Amino acid sequence: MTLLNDLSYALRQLRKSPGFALAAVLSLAIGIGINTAMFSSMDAVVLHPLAVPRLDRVVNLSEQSPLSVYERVALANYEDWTRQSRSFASFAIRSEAAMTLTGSGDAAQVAATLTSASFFHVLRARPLLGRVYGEEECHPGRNSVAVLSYGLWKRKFGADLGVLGRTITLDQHNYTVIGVMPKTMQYPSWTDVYLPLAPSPEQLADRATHSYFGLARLRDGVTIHEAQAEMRTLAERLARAYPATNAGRSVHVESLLDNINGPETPLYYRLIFGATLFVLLVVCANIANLQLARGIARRPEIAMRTALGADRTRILRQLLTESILLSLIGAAGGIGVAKLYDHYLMASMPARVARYMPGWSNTGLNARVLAFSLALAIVSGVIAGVVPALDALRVDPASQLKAGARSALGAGSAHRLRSIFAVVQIALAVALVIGAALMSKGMDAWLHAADIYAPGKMLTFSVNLPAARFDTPQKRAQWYAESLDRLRALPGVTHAELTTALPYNDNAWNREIEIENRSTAPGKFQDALDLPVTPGYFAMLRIPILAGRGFDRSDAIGSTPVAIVSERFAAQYFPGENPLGHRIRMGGSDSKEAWLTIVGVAKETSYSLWDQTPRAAVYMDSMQLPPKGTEYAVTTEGDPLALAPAARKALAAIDPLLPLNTVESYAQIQDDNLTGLKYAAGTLVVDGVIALLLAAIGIFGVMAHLVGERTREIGLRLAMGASRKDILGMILRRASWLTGVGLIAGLALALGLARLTASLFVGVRPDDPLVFAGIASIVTAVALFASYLPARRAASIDPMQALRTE
Amino acid sequence: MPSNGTLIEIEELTKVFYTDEIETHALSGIHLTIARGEYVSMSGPSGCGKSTLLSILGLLDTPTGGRYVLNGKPVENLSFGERSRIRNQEIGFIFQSFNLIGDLTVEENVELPLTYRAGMPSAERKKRVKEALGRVNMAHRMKHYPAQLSGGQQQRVAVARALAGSPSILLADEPTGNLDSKNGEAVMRLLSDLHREGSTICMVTHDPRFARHAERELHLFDGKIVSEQEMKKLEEEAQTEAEA
Repeated sequence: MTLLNDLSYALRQLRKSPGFALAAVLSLAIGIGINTAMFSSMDAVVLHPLAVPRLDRVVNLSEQSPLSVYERVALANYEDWTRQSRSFASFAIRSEAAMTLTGSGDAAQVAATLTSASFFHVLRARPLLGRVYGEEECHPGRNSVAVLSYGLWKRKFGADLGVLGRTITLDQHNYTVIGVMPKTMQYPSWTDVYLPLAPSPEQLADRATHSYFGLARLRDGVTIHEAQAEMRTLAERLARAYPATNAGRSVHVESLLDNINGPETPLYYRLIFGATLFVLLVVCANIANLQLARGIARRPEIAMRTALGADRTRILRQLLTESILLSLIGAAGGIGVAKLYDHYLMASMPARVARYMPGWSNTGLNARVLAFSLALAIVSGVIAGVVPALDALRVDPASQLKAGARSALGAGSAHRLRSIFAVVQIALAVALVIGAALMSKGMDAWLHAADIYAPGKMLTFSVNLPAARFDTPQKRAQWYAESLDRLRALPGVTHAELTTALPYNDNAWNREIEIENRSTAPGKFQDALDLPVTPGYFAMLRIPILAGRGFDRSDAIGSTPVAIVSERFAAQYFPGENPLGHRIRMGGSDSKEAWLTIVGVAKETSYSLWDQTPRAAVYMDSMQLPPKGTEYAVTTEGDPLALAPAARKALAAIDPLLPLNTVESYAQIQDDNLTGLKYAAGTLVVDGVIALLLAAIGIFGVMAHLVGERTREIGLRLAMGASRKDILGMILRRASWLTGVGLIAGLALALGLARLTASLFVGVRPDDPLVFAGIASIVTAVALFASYLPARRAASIDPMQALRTE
Repeated sequence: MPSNGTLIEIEELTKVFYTDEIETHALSGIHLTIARGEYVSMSGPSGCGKSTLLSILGLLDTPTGGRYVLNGKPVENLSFGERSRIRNQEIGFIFQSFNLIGDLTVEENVELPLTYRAGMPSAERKKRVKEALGRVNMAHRMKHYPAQLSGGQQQRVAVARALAGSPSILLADEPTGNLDSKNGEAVMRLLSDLHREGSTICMVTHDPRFARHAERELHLFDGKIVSEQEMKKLEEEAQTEAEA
């Protein structure tokens, strides 16, 4: 018989058991569907975030200092790399700038990426429309051309095919649009527009200003390790040649894919992908259970086939064909589930977060995803079918075909296997639900970390001050003072302040510091968070000044620059000493910034959600040392987002060309920061609930089958004097035993997995006893509830009816 | 009130089954008394009501009407729980197809009814199991599983299970139906031995050879107890009707 015959017979078999087929196909559609959706998201975000040919050959180049391996690059160093390195076929350099787009509707801030012409060559990126700029356009005075990103083209220009040749104004400079990049070439992901990087000769000779990101494509046959080794040697040579700027610096070579993904995204994806694979395993166990039950009914058929000469391989092939066919039909349904799930994921991701996720917008069902789904269906079919098929082969045709009554009532191997599958389902469900609960609990703790600062009452936004117009501290200070006065005058506003970071929002930058008259040992670095704030910041967030004073009006431009340090700063750098009166300076020993006199010590405040260990921090007065970029924080008595139009109007009254950017409440920022975690936790919760439901169905099936199989035995027990309670207890005891074994295995599995992935469970212990005990109770309750129905049916068996099969 | 020698007293007992507006009178006005230590057989054609009567006698079913007094206590209107308790203490069942539980050993099978008897210590149960198996000569197979025994041996174990609780009466429903003649005879001899030792037995059988082992033979026809002569006459009439 051919495979076609097998398929045709398998189809007939499924038509004969529509209930079984429907249950199996639905479970498989859910199992394969969520795995397909997860893979499509992982494929878009982690595996193929950019449509760049041979992406694995493209590397990110950063400078390495004792503070970080991701320091930006100085142009003169980059120039030397391109001349001296032999590991790379091509190099590119880029920098980022926030610019104000005017002349195309309302003024808006856009994220510009300034690149060398080779940027597009390194990435082998072709424009969707028009052309990209060439070397000749990367020179001062000839660089007034722009390539739009797909997103900006759609958003601001309505995907107008005639956009080429149009003039756009960025920070009051005109640029001619010469090209539009495709949706799949969005690097960096937040870029709105690409502009030619046109450095001056002075900038090209500068080794002290680290403002750029390097990019290169490896020469054929060169590995990343070899390139790293060469760049390290090269950096050592540069350090010897230019010790003032390059001592202690090296080069970090990393694949662009790893650089885009960062360390955590692939880990989270692996965690949730692993979890959805767990769900598929639970589904397979469920299908295997159903097939085992069905296999008992099909024993005479198998016996007959054997009697007619079918060998074991032949029967195994037939049974596996049926199982794989089921999976393939399930996978077809799974494509629909995946499409819905993907749609839900895309719709639920805020656009302001999605733009920082490379590849996210490309999530969809491409050929790779469909091939994955097909492979998954075949593997699932084999996993779900192999044990029932092997069990069916154990049938002894002689005894099966012999007519005659059974003298003893008992269970067979199929029942034992079904019990094993039920235990496996419970164990997997327990592990999944515990994972989901741990992540949700941690996330919940983090989501509320900033609650003491009333994030639901604070509006935040930024204003990009064009460098050309706000080129002096006085001009910036004047803008800040005037804008804050206007905001404070708005009805309902309680505070309006400036800061570059808020507690727990991970926006604070660490910088090297220098303490006056104190030398540091070679190779030792002193660092602290750099926090320019306005004087009312401490009162707004109720951060007490523990010693000295806060900032006040006397701290103005021209007066002695002052700083307030954190408790941790004082303890770390002035142990047993009073830090007040000492002078510090931001930047390393070659810093040109002003010395700051410490006038106060503020209570410890954490600025990082992910790493809440106390960090040394230095607050500076933004009215005394006005930063080039900062954020507004405005607290209100009512809904902060409702205040946004009034704030916009108030600032437009000073300067209508300066738009408000990234208008969000503090609560939204915190929420957005946890998007990845929420996504992972949400997926785990969905996976956990599905697995728990399937496990409940699994144990229900096993117990219902057990009751059906033991009807005569139960009738006999009742005849012997067992009460209904005895029978109920007997079935529930059996269910408890199965649940208990599954629970123990599941708890052990969960503990092992949670410890392995401890770094992903933030804000909670991976062995949190409350979570473990709580989930164990819930799973037990669900499993026993699922078993109660068959147990009740068992207890209501009529002994006379049960024994009437005599 | 029954005399001290009466174990079962049934008066005007009826059982009607209702299916889709059709009334089937399985038992119609049965009067029956079984004395303690008596060995009664019940026979009759298929559908005559003998299994229904046995189920009511064993409290597995309830009558539609009439009186049933077991051991001096009216039992026709008891709750399921009370019937379970009385069944456990007063009645021992022997089935045609033995109904031993395959997952339990011989010892555990025999112990089963005793496990439903509240408050009986384990040692007492073990003692009774040993005695019951000794009475049917199966004590040496205590640790075996039913599948390891012959049909005749399985039925002997089933008899031991019925005896273990020291019931007032043994109800045997076609106890030789699944056995060959040699094993069937052996089981019948065992029942006779038990009767001689004082057991009260009520056995349903359609085999006249086995029915004659009993002291008293009851004949059922169309839900009524009839005499042997009446039975023959009714059977002949039914035969003639069928041929016509």
